[in-house]
Amino acid sequence: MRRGILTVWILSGLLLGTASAETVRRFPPPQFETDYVMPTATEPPPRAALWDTLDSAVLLGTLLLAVWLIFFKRRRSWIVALMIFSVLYFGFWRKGCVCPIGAIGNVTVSLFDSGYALPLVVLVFFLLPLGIGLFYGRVFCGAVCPLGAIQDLVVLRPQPVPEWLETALRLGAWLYLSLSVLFAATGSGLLICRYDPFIAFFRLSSNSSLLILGILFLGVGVFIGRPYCRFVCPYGLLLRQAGRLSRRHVTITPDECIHCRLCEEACPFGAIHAPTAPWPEKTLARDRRRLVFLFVLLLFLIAAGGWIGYRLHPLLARANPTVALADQVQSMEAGLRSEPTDEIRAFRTTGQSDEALYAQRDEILSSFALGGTLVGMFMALVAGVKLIAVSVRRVRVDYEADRAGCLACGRCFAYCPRQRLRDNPAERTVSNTSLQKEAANA
Amino acid sequence: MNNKPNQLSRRQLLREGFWTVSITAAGAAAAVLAARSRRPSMVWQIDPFKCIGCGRCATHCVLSESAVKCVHAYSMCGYCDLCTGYFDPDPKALDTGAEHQLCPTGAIRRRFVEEPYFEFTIDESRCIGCGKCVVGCAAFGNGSLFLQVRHDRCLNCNECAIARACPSQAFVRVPADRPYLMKDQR
Amino acid sequence: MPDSTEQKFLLRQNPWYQAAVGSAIVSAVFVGVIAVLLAVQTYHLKGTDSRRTAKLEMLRRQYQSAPADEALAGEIRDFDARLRRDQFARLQFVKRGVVLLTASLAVLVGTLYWLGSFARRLPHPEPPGDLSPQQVARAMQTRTAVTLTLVIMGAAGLYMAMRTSEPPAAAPAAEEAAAAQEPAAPPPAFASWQQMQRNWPVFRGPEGAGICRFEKIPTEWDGPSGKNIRWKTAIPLPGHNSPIVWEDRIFLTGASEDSRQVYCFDADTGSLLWTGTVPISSSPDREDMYIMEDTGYAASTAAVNGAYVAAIFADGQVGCFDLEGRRQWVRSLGVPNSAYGYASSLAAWEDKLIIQFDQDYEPGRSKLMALDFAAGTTVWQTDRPVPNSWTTPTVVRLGDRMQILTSGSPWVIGYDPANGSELWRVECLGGDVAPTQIVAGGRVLVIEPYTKLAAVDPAAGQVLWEAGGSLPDICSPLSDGRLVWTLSSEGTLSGYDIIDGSRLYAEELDGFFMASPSLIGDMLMLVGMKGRTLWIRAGRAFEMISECELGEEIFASPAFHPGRIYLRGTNHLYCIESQP
Repeated sequence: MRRGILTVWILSGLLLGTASAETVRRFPPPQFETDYVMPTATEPPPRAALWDTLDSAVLLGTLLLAVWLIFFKRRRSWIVALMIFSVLYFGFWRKGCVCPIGAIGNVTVSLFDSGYALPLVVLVFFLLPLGIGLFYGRVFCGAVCPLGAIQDLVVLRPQPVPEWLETALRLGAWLYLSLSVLFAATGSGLLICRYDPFIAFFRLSSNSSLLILGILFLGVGVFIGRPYCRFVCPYGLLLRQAGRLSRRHVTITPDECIHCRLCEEACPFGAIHAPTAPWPEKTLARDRRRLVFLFVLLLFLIAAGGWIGYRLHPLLARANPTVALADQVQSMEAGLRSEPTDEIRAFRTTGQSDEALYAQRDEILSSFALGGTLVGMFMALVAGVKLIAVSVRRVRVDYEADRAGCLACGRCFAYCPRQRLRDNPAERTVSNTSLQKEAANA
Repeated sequence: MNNKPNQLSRRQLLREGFWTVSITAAGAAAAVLAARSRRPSMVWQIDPFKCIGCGRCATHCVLSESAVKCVHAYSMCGYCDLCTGYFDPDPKALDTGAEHQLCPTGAIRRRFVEEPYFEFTIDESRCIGCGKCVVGCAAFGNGSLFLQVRHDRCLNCNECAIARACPSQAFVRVPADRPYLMKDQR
Repeated sequence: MPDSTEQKFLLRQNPWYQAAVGSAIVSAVFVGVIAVLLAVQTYHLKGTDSRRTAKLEMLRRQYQSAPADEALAGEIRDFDARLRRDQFARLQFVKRGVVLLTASLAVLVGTLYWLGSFARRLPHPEPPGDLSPQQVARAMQTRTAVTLTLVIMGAAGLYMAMRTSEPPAAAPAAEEAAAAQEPAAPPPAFASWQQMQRNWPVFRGPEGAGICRFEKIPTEWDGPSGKNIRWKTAIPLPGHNSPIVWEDRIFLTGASEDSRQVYCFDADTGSLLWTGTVPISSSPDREDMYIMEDTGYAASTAAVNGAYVAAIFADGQVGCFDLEGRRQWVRSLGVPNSAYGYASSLAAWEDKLIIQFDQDYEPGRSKLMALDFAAGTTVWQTDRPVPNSWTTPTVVRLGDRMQILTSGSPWVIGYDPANGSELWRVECLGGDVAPTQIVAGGRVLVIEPYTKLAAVDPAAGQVLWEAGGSLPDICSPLSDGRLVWTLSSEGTLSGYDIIDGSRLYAEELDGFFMASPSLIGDMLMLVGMKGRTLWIRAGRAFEMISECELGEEIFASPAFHPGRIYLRGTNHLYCIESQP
């Protein structure tokens, strides 16, 4: 009998269309005569909130430990041990989430969308490495970041990357950062998390494109040290600036530099700078003119960048789901599309009018217009400042770790004879002569 | 070269200034953002009311076996013999034969309770979250079958891959202390 | 120093070195084999999976046409079982494979380190040569590289911008199609839904939800000093109804005990363009009519459909005018029996004027009517099972169709605007319902005065959640699709999560509120009775932004048009616009 009712229902449903569903419940709850007990659906809980606190605590602990290891203990092997721990904990155990790199997206969203609730643990992850960075430089990159650590562990045959290439490639990272911020601010998605290359390893499960991306980065990373950190990582760019300003920074030697040149090739990331040679006196006037020219050029570059960014905004805005939906609905309404997509079907159930959706799209488009212009201007500013920075005559007296580029991995420590003496005072008698020889050479 | 110490101190001053500005900015950002932040954390969940059962949950999760599974709100179920969430639209016989079933993995178990009622339970180890049964049940039944993110499986990715693919924006962030949006417990 | 060939020879003899080489090779091969297996397994089985599913589908279709074929059924069962076994086997394999791959990669890296430890190169700096020109050359190279990158990025950007600079193909096509059709069909006597959206044709805007999507809405003004007040015009007769806007005209109504008037103001100058009068009811019931002072004779907001404007008054008199002020028709619906005085506003849908005429203390005489906007004749009329209410019907698009939504104790009911037939109903209200329902995020949100806020699923016809708190008795709710806000007359602003109805905050504000709240961008605009407007951030937490003073009491909800807010004070109509 029940089946008969159902058939009627199906027929009427087909006739009237499903939109005219009207009853609260088509079939009343059954009255059981046996002692059947109705089961309830299980609700397996997510990770307890306590874990968030633990993650924050572990982050703080590892950061402080890293500071101690890099600045006071100065032993690469200990730093490697901490890296392995970070890969295991933040990587494999916590599956690479939450991480400060991705937190850029969340923080941006919370700044632009007052309806978004920023989890406290994300905020801690975003600010803590930066805060520590202002005091001690990029210790986070050195031993705590699981993405950095997994790359650092595969640096087997590092080849030097010429300075010009490194600087040019880093512009790509700036573009990535500004687009990520733009997309997060306009509610179009979190780019950084979407293209996290090592997530496939940390989760031991992924779609094939991400896995290939990860293998690619690790494969390249055997020969080019830490490619993601140096040429992609947006958080690394923030930490670079923190490193520039930091109160203390990593030093190659624990004492005074003796210019032995032994550390020259120690850094696989090209972050050790030799002392500068004297700049030629005769081109001084020309170099100054060039600087002035570059400052003027900067203004033009910014204007041009802004214009290109503005012109690109309709293209960029297509990444926004609302814009994409509005375009779909519009092409549907215009008869350019015969079958409604799932998105259109879903939109039709929300009760929102097409016009309201278009208005929303226009709003998003205008924020993209502003954002695209700003991104273009910002990219031009970055490149222009870089041009100026390269053209300034710097003076360096000693072998130094680059404040911005040093990833605090601790490889160079062992190359410094002064450090070796500290570690093994027994070597002193043997090495003193060679040290003197080196000093004489220098 | 005698202007070198002077130059250095100017740089020092600049750096000092920038440092102070940065640390103040970081502090201010921390304060502003902390005011907007919240605990406990948020987790992903499907708003079953917005879900249209498109089937993308089964294919877009970063896990090779989706974290989204079908959940049964028993108190909403009609315990029908002809369950449109279980059977093909036009079943030839009401039994458990594979040829009649809607579920592509046979994850729904059908059990006789008493005349004329049948109980349907979800075998989660088999369910792939395709939502075929959800659509079937919602079309002609009480809508007691619906999809939920199962938090014993979900990694709570920062950007959920299914949320990005979801056509109805049914993926929402819910507080971790109330992580399910059960249809019968509102 | 030993010769390098000799060194290599010695190294080859070292058994540990041999072991390291061996294990490196073994682990490399292992990694390779697993990677290949994984790739093949994933790729190959993905292909076969879909093919097999297609085969299963085919078998099932065959079975549909030959249900008696037991052998076929058996084949389906076997095939189905095999398919599942394969699928789970594949999942298991991939799961184990990735773990193995990662582990063996780690081993490979370890052995490579071990191998490297045998051939550790000591740092051996070359003689430096002349550093100064190198340094200058390096700077030059970097400048060139940065410039080149910049040029490439700029060129790529320009190229992509050029390719996408054409406006989306759909937009002009739609407009052209509309333009091509227009001369063929006689011009309709009403505006399209799209035009309605660009105006403020009924109470709380086109969707009746208090959401303003116009740009450049001013957020600062000061009545006493005249700051950002474009104009201010006296309104002849009082009324609590809200202004409505059509293009360059603003309409509102006013009434006293013996006069009913409709006013049209010029949007740019504020001058009163015309005054229309509607005769008072001649029904004997008028003598018994009880009108609360707080309600007045003109509490109902008028409605405009682009061609005509109509108004209803407390005695059930409906009058319609064209936009030039020529009276088209008058209808007497009879004096409604309403506890506090009739207050439901009108709704406009294409050529129909929708009137929710709820009355009496018991259900029986309430009805929903659609009048022909141009002629005043009844197009359809549906009895409503509710007693008197003070809510406004709203016409919204839900699913693939337009619906009229109504609230009245205890039902929320959706009607078909074409014929007035009931589409769905949900029981969730009680008492004297005055706040008007809104639609947000696919839910219908209603308020039972003082008691609860409820979210209703219109497709399934069920209550999704109910929430308590200091809820309003007059002001309608507001939502951006994610959050819901309610504002009580006593000034409690509450925020709720639309998903589950959890209350996010309840903030007690200064003052009383009669006007319903509005949403402009990411700000809530709350117009206080004493003339003070509060701007609140539309977020999960309460955040006051600013406040503005009008200097006159306000009961009516604001109306919006691009760049402007229209506020009705007790005696004046104000146009607020940011002064350049």
